[in-house]
Amino acid sequence: MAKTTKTSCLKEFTKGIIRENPNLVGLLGMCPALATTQEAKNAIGMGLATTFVLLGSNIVISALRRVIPKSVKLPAYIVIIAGFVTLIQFLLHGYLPALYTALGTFLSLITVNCIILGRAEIFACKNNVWRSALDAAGMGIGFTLALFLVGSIRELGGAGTWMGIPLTKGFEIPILTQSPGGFFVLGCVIAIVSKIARKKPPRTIGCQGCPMSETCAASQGGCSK
Amino acid sequence: MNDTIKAPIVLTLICSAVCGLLALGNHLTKDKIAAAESQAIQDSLANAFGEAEYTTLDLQFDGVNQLFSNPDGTTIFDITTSGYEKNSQHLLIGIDENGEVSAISFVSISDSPTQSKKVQETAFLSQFIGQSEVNETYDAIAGATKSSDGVHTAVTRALNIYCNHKEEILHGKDN
Amino acid sequence: MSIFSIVLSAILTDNFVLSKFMGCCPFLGVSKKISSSIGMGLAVIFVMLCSTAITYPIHMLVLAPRGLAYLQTMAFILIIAVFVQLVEIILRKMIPPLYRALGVYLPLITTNCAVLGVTILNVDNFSNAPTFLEGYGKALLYAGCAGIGFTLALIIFAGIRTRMENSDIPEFFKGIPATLIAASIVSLSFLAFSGMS
Repeated sequence: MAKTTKTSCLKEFTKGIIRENPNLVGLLGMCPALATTQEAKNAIGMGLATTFVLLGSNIVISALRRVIPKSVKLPAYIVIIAGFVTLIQFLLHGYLPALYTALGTFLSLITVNCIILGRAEIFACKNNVWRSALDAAGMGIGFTLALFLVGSIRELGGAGTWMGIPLTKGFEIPILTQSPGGFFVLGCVIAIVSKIARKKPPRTIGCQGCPMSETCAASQGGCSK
Repeated sequence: MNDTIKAPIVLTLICSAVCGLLALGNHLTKDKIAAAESQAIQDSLANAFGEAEYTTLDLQFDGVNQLFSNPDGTTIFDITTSGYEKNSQHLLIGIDENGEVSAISFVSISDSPTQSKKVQETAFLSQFIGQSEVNETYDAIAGATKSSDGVHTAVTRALNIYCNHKEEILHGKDN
Repeated sequence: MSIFSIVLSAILTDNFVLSKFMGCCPFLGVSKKISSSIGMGLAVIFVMLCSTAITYPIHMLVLAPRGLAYLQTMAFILIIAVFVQLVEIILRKMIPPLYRALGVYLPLITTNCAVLGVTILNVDNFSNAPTFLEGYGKALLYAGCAGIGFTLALIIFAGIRTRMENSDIPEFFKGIPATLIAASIVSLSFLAFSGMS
C-alpha cells in the first residue's frame, strides 16, 4: 500500500483546528452547530462532549483496527461510538446536570455526527493509536472552536450576553437565537472563514468527508444528484 | 469461511464489551445522578420557600411529580410542563394553607435563553401569586407565549389538584 | 398530545429540519433537484416508520422494564444501521427499479440525525401513554409525519435552489453559505407556524 509522506505529529494535531476544520471547512456536523449554539456556554459543552467521544472512539477503533473484519466494520464502529456517547451522557447527567438538560436529545445525536464516523473510517482504521488520538484531539478542538464562534455570535447578537455576562443589552436581535438565526450565522461564518483562508467553500457537502463514501452508491455518480 | 465466522464473533464480542462497560458506568453514576436531581430540587425549595425541613407527601396525582410540605403549612407541587419544547419547564408551586399561591420557583427550564429569562421574572410571575382560583385568562409575555403557557398550565394544575383533593393533602401532612 | 397536534407539530410547527435542526446534512446536500428530494424524502419516511416500528417496542418491552434504558442509544442506532443494510440488500435483489430510485440514498440515512432523533423523541414523548398500543400508534404517526415534514422542507428548498443556481451571488458566498442563508429564510417562514397550537 503506497504511503503518503508522513506528516509530523504536530501537524496531525493542528490540521484539525484551522486548515481542515471539520465544521467550517469540511462542512460536517452541521446539526449540532445549528442546534446547540444558542448560548456560547452550551456550544463549548457540546464541542467538548463531542471531542470526548471522538478521542475515545478513535483510540479504541485504532487499537482494534487489525481485529475488526471489513464486513462488520460499520456496525462495530457504531457500537463503539454509541458506547462512548452513553458514557459521556452518564458523566454529564451526574456532574453537570444543567448542561445535560440544555443539550437534550443532541447529546444522543453525537452518535451520528458525521465527523466521528468519518474520522474513524478515514483515519483511525489506518493509523496507529497515538496518531489517531492526535487527529481526534485536533478535530475535536477545531469543532469546539467553530461551535464556540457561532455560539458567541448568536448569544451576543441575540441575547445581549456572553457566557451569561450581559454585554450588549439593548442592541439584541432575538431572532438570532432562534432557528432562522442559526442558519444565517453559520452561513455567514463559513463564508467569512473561506474568505480568510482564501479557499472557496465547496459547492456541495463533500462526498470525500462523508463517512459513507466508500459504501454509498451515490458517490459513484456524484452526490449532487 | 474464516471471515464469515470471525465477523459475527468479533461483533458480538465488541457489543458485549460495550454493554458491560456501560452497565459498569451506569452502576457507578446512578447514585450521583439521583443525588444531583434531588439536590436541584432542594436548592429550589430553599430559594423560594426558605430553609426548612421539607417532608415529601406520600400521594400520587396525575401530572405532578411529587408533593412536599413545609412546617408552616405550605404545600409545594413539583410539576413538569411543556414550554416551547416538550417538558422543558420543571417548577415548584407553593400553595399556602389559605389555598393561595404563595410562590413559584423554577428547578430547571430549557426553553430558548431569552424566553427562559423572561418567564422567570417577578413581573410576570407576580400575577399568579395570591391566586386561589383557576383563572382561564392571564397575561402572557409577548414573544414568549408558549413558555408563558407552560407556567399557566402548571399553576392551573396545582390549584385544581389542591382544590379537589384538599382533604387528602391535609391528611397526608398530619401523618 | 392529541392526534391533530401531533400531525401539525411534526409537519409544520416543529419541523424536524427547519425548527429542530435535525437532518441538516442531507437537507443541504441532496436538495438540488426536486426529483432527488422526493426520492430522499420517501426513503426517509420509510426508514423512520420502520425503525420506530422496531425501536419503540424494544424500548417499552425490553429495555425500560429491566432498567436498561441507558442502552437505548446503542440499541437504536444499531437497529437503524442493520435495518438500512437489510433493506438495501432486499431492494437490490427484489425490486431493482425501486432500488435505483431510492437505494442510492439509503446509506446516507443511517447517519441522518433526523432518523435517530425521531426514534429517541418517540420514546421521550410517548413512553407514558395509557396503553402500549396507544403509545405505539402515536409514535408511528409522529414518525410518519416527521418524515413528511422533512420531505416538505426538502422539496420547498429544492425549488428555491434551482432558482438560486442562476443568481448573482458574491464569490465567497457561493455554494453552502448562500444555501444556509436561503435555509434561514425558509426557516423564518416556518417559524410563523409556531403561533398555531
